[in-house]
Amino acid sequence: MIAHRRFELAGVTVLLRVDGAPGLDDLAEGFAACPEASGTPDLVLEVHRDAAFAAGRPRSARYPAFERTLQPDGTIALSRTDIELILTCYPDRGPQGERVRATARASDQPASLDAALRAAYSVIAPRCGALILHASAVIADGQAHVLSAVSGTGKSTLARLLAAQPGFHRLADELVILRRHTAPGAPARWWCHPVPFRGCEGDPFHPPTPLASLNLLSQSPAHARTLLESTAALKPLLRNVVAHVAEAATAARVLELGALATHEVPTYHLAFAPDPSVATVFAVT
Amino acid sequence: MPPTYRRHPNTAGRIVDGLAFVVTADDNKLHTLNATATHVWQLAQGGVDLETAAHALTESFQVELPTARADLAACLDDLVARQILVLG
Repeated sequence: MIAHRRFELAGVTVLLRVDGAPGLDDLAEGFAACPEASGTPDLVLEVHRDAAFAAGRPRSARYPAFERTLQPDGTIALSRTDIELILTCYPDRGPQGERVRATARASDQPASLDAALRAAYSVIAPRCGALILHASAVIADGQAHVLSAVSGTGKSTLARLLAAQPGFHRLADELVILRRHTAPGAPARWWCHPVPFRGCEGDPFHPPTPLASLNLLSQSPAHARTLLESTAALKPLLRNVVAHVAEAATAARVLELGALATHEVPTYHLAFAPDPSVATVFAVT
Repeated sequence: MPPTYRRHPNTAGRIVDGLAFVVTADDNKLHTLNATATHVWQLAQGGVDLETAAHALTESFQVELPTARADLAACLDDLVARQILVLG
């Protein structure tokens, strides 16, 4: 019995096919927010779930991170205790019109399905104008302010502090998707999407929100928000991008989108002290 | 034939405000190149040897040829060590 679902996540059409119990029954609740899609998928992900898959497999010191290998045939192998994932990236399109095909063997645990989907999505997203970013996000005046940092810097704390202030709403806590949307005759616009993945608090059902600013965080005794040049912003921003880069094509897409983001979206270094007065640096009306 | 330096095939790069940012996909690292290395990286798209690159540098940076050669030798060694360029 094969369960399948075709949905859209931040402009990417995903066809997910799963065989083996429990099928798609334990897909994270947030995916209910992703609309059903039709037409050609950008990503085809086929997952075979097996309760015994992880038994006897070694647990890497880097778990839950994947070991990543570019194979001689050009496919990307991602491996960890509970998942083996093979990604084929097509220069044009694959047999079903897809840009990326992923096949996975995984345990029957919910986290395994979620991690396979997240990893495959991280490779297709840049090909469709989107990036997953380690960041929290708040909405003020109908626009998203993304707060990006490595773990332990306080991005969740900052989002919670801001969300407690009048005029702010917490969109995401751990990850966001940034998407560059272009339309003929109009300037490119960036949108911030909440993520549906497991372990990411926030509001996965909130609609995409126009992106007002990117803020690269550090803690400091006093608040200070400084606009960055693209050259200064690009490296720290890309450090926080989630993408399984193993070959030049994905690297080029990630680099291109990062450069465009730091050119087109005001990007700041935000030094903050963890107290509610940090809201003043956003000049929200 | 002098040895030719080319871009490593498993890299991607982009010029941002005059400086090259290069991702080496094998180790998933982002490298920010200085002005000299950016110039070399641009020349290396079609392959370049040290002498040709040195002459190009003298024109772009107003330096004497011996200085350009010395700077380039160190720069090329560094770019090869970081797997941004390959030799051959």
